[in-house]
Formats: sequence, C-alpha cells, structure tokens
Amino acid sequence: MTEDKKTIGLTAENRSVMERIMDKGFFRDQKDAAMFAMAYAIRQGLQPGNAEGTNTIWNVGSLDPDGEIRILIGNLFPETAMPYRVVESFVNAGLLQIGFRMDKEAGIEITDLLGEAAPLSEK
Amino acid sequence: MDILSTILELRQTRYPNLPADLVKEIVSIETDFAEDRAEAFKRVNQALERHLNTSSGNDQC
Amino acid sequence: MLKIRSITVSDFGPFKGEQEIELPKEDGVVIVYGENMRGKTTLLNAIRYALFGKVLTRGSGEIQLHQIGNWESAASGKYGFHVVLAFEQNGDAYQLTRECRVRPGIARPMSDVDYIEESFLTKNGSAMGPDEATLELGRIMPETVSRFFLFDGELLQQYEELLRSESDMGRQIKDAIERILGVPVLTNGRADLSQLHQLAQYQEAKAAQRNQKTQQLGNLHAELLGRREAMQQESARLRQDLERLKVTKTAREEQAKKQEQLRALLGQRERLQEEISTLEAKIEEREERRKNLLTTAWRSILAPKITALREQIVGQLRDLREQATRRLVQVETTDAIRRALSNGNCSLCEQPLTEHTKQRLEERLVELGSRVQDIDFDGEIHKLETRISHLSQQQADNSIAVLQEISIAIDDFRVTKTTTEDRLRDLKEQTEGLDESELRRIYGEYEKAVQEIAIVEKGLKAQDDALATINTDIIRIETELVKKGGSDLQKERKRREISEGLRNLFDEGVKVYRDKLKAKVEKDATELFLQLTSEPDYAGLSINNSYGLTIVHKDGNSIPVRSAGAEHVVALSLMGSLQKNAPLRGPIIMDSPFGRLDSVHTRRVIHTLPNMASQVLLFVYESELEPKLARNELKGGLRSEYRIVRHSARFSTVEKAV
Repeated sequence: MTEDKKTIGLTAENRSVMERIMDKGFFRDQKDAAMFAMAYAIRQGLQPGNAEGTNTIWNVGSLDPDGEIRILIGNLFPETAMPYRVVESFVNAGLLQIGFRMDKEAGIEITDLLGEAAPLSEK
Repeated sequence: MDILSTILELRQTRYPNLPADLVKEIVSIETDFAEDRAEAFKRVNQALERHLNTSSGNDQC
Repeated sequence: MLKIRSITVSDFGPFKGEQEIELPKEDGVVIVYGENMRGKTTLLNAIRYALFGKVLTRGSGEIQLHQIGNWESAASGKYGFHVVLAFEQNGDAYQLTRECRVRPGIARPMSDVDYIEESFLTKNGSAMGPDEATLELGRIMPETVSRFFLFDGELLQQYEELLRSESDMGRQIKDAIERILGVPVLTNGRADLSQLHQLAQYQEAKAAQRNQKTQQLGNLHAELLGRREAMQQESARLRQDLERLKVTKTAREEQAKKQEQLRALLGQRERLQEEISTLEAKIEEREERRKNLLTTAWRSILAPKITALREQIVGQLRDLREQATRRLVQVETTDAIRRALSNGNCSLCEQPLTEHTKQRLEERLVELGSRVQDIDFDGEIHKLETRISHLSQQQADNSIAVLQEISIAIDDFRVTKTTTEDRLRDLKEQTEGLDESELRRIYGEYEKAVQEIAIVEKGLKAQDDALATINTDIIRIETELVKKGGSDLQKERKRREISEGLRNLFDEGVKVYRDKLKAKVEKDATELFLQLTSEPDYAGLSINNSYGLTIVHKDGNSIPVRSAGAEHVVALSLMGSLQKNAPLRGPIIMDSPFGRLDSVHTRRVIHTLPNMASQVLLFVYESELEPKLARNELKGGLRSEYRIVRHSARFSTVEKAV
C-alpha cells in the first residue's frame, strides 16, 4: 500500500504543454494552470488514475495550503485514499487533453475551454 | 473723377480761406514730379514762399 | 491718353531682322495670332523692354540681355538687338528707341558686360536729354503701374493677393493701383505740406525767440517742437517695425497654411498613438482581471459537479435520517414487545396476553431482530453532514460568463489596436521626410511675431497719445504767440497757418478722393463684370480697402473662392475700371488673356474689350481665340490682324493679314 504523494509533478510531454499554455498569457503562474487543467479533466468526466514518469514541480503544501483541494477530491472521489495522487493524475490528464486540443484546433483559446459542458458523471 | 476738381471743391466748402491758385499749383507740381519727391518738395516750398511774399507785399502796401 | 502707333523689333528673340506691327490711329482692337513658342510673349516683352529696359520670364524673373538677341543672327556674327516704340500722348508724337549693341572690340559677346545699352527719346522730332527723357517717360508710363496696361494672362495670382492686404505683394499692388488712380498726388502733397508746416513752426519759434517780449514763449515753442520731432521719429520707427512684423506674421501664416496638411497629419499621428496607448492600457487591465479570475476558475469549472454531488449527499443524508428514525421506532417496538412478553400483559390495554398473541409477538420479535442493521447512524450522519458542509464552502459564484466576456473584450481591443497600428504605420509613411522641426520653427516665429506686434502696437498707442498731448501744448503756445506777437511774427504766423490749412485740406482730400474712387472703381468694375460674366445669379462686385474685388451673389453674400476663369474675369473688370478712372490713360496690351476662359466668356470679353480701352492689342493663339469669332464679335472694332509665322525654330516673322 503506497502512501499519498507529497509532491505533484508533470510528465515531460505535459511540461511542454504547460509552457505552451503559459505562453498564451492567460495564467499568472503554472499553479493556476495546473488547477485549471485538473478541474477541466474532472469536468470532462475522466477517471482518476496514476500519472507515470512525472518530475516534481510543486510541494502539496504550496499547491494546497489549506487542504481545501484534498477535501474536495476526497468528496468527489470518496473511494480514493490518496487524494494528491488523484490530483496529480488529473492535472496531467487535463494538460494532455488540452495539449491535444491545441494541436487539433488552431487558434483555440483557454477561455474556449471554460464553457465545455462535458456529461457530468453522477456517480 | 478728377483729383483737381475734388480738391478744389473741398477747398471751397471746407477751407475757403486757402488760395485756390496755390492749391492748383501744388496739385500740378505733385502730378508732374510724382517720381521725383525731392524736386516736388522744393517746388511746393517755393510756391508757398512766392505766395507769402506776394500777399505780405500786398498787405504792406 | 497714351496711344501706341507702332512697334518695331530687330533681332529681338525669334524675330530675325526688322519686324514691325503698326497700330491704327483710330480706336479699336488689333490681334496678333501666333502659336506658343513663336514669339507672342516676346512682343509683349519688347514693349516692356523699350519702356523699362527689362524683359520678364513667365515667373516674373528677369532675362539677361545677352540671351535676348536672335540666335540665327548671332550665328552669322550679328549680335545685339533693338526695339523702337512709336506713340502719342496729348497730341505729342514720341519715338522711343532702346538698343543693345556689342561693346567695340568684342568679337563674341558672352555676358551682359559685353554689351552697351542705350535709349533715346524724341518728342515731336526733337531729341530729349537723358534726364528729361527719364522724367517724361516716368510721367507717361511709370513702371509701377505698367502691370495694368501690359497684362500677362498667366500672372493672375497677383490679383488674388489684393484680397490679402497685409502680404508684401498685396501692398505693392495696392500702391500701384493708387498710383495709377492718382492718389499719390494727394498723399505726397500731404506729406510735403506736413513737413512744410513743421518747418514753419520752427521758423515761428525762432522768430519769437529773437524778440524779447516773446522770447520765453519762443524758447518753449522751440523745445516742444524739438521734442515732438523726436517723438515723431520714434513713431515712424515703431511703424516700420510694425510693418515688418506684420509682413513676417503674414508670411509665416502662409507658410503655416502650406504646412497645414502636415500639421493635420501630425495631429492624427499623435491621436492614433494615444488611442493605441489607451487600448494597450485597457488590454493590460483586462488581462490582469482575467488572470485573477483564472486563479480561482477551477472552482467555477467544478461548480456544477460540486452542486450535483452536494445534492446527492443531501439526498443520502435524508435517506439516512429516515433510516435512523425507522431504526428508533424499531428499537422501541422491540422493547415494548419484550416487556409485554415478560409481563404477560399488553402494554396498551393491560389485558393478559393469550398464547396465540404471545406466539405472534415472539415471531414478530424474530422478524424485527433480523432487520436490525449494524449501522453507526450518528457516525454516518455526521460524516455526510461534514461532507455537505465542505462542499457548500466550495461553491463559487459562476465567474465563467465574466471570463468569457473579458476575453471577448480583450480580443476586440486587440483587433482595434492592430487596425489602429496599421493606420499609424501608413500615416508614418506619409509623414516620413516631412520636417516637423521646420513646422515648429514657423509656428514659433509666428507666435513671436504676434506677441511683438501686440507690444509694438501698445508702444505706438502710447506714442500717439503723447504726441496728441504735445500737439495740444504746441497749439496753445501758438495761440499765445498770436496774441503777444507783433508784426515781425506775422509772416511766420501766416506761413504756419497756410501750410497747416493746406496740409489739412490735402489730408481730407486723400480720404474723400479715396472713397470716391473706390465707389467709382467698384461701380465701373461691376458694370464691366456683368457684361463679361454669364452667371445670372451674380449681382456684381464689391471692393475692399486694397482694391480687391469679391463677387457678390444675388442673395447678398460674397463668393469666397474663385475658379481661375472667374479670377480672370474679375481681373479684367478691375483693369477696365482702372483704365476708366485713371488720370493716366493708355492701351491695354494682353498676352493670352483667354487661356482659362470658356467660349462663352471669351465671346463676352471680346465683345466688351473696345469698351475697356480705346486701344487694345491682343497676342493670342488660334485655339484660344478663333479668328472668325473675333471678327464676328468685333466687326468694325477689329482694325487689323497679324500673324507670327515660323520659318525655323529660331526665326519668326510678323505678317499682316489681308
């Protein structure tokens, strides 16, 4: 039984996606972008998983100082015992998706992703 | 539209004491010597003096 | 009335050998036809040369004498040229010859210094001395008014200058017009008499000083006169400065107007740059807001999910609570049954229980017991309540719509900014190379001139006030002298009084004559104009203080801007009117006067020409004025026709048409 993660990181591929996103000048810092990507992935209805091959970028303390995110993930996905691992998987899954869309749809803006109403999974 | 007639008319109405022939003479001098101002001035001065000498002569007589 | 009898040119311009144009004694029009570059303007220049020794080019610049001689003659070694002008005035016959010949000893002349120029004037056959001749010519046709007789149709813009009296050229022309109308006779007279009056005052003062009785008064008089002279000199100096400054101001205004386009463009450039800065600020501000909103956007993204989940848990909580309540009921029922079984009595009616009832109750007990769930209701309920509480805290207001709005706004601003930047780039290209510093200098000088004018005008006013005061004092003293003075002062006093009276007479005369003249010039110009124009809505012409004429519409308004054709017609009206009112009368000689006129106006001008002057000489080209048209319109008024015939590029002759 593995412990919950104490750091959150990005895969090599997602690091370049992150750079591309930051270049667009929408986010103040990578943290904001990461949270955005995480929320995007959850909203898309993706399942929590395990992100492989990540290099550490943030301390969970700096990403989630009040523990708010941990609690939220705990609420949204009560079956998981490792909320930060879930966070990391969603951050990476979200970035991957966003990167994919940026490739496919030229000129897509971050704000275009805002109103995406993915079918919300009830359970 | 004569200069002379204009000025003589004016003399009659506004300055009847001024001698008409002196006025005529001055107009004539200024017309003839329009391009030679120095000469014109000299001749007007002479005309004036001539008039003064004649009239004062008359007065004395 | 000056009347030209003949013009003879020899080796002048393209006219090789001797060529002559005769003008008839009778009133009427003579037309000389010639294509461009054949020598039409040269003939006009020949007249100018004979009278004033000058030959002008199209741009009013002088041509050097050594360039005037005929080239073909020069090629065969014959240099130099001459012009003979025969004319009449007041019954006297004159012959004016002006010639330019090579200095003895010069084989091939290269410049003006290699020539000697001489002119001779004979009057009724007798030669006049050079000074006498100069004076006589100055009287007959002064150079400054020649532009009203020798009319070059190309130089019309000079007449527009009349509408701007403070321009240098405008004042020169105004002076020229007043000259031709005879005004200087009166203004010069006034100036001379004014000077004589002042001299007379000095003489009176001196005479008073010689007599003991009037010595003090005389001294005071002399002193005041001296002071006044100094003040007058100062006034004159200030007036000169003022003139100079006004000319500068007008000149800068002209230059600034030309730069107006540049200024407008520069202003536009500045505005566009400001617009771009504003847009950049707006974009920056909104991007900041967007960044701020995006920091917490993840909440809004998850908001629907959180809301749904919360509702779900609320539902779960409700179910759980119901279960808990049912469980409670269950426990109470079980207890009641147990009590009843142990007592043997029904807890409600307190009757003993039958065996049947006891059995049923035991079955019931078993049933209930099997239903018991091992649930920690409190724990579970607490857990759900905690989750609900956390989720409620999560719910963010929906900033997504705001974010989208901001993004749209940013995009719009960006597009506007790009368009504006494009416009600015175009503008920068347009204004590239235009000298902004030059414009600033012009404005600087203009402002300075305006300020200095205000100062000088103030100074002048002060001087004029002081002069008025001192003149009052002088008059007071002169009145005293009259009382106190004896017979020895009488002559001086008389001189002073007469010269003063004469000066005042001429002073008033100037105003009266000018007013009369303007009214008459306006009336005559209007009369001519109405004959010349074909526009029925024009009521006439109105004159300003510089003898500039504006067209007046039937409705009473002035027509501000004129086409070149209209300018032409107005200028001709002015010329005709001046001819009529000038004490100096002469022929009208015109070079290409119809160039800018349409056929309607050409016809009218031709028709009216004989009314404008008794002798008219026209140099025209055939497409400008059709010979048939001229003959039809003028009929008997057309005295003769000449034609300039081209023999080679540098050789033309003048031939009389039969």
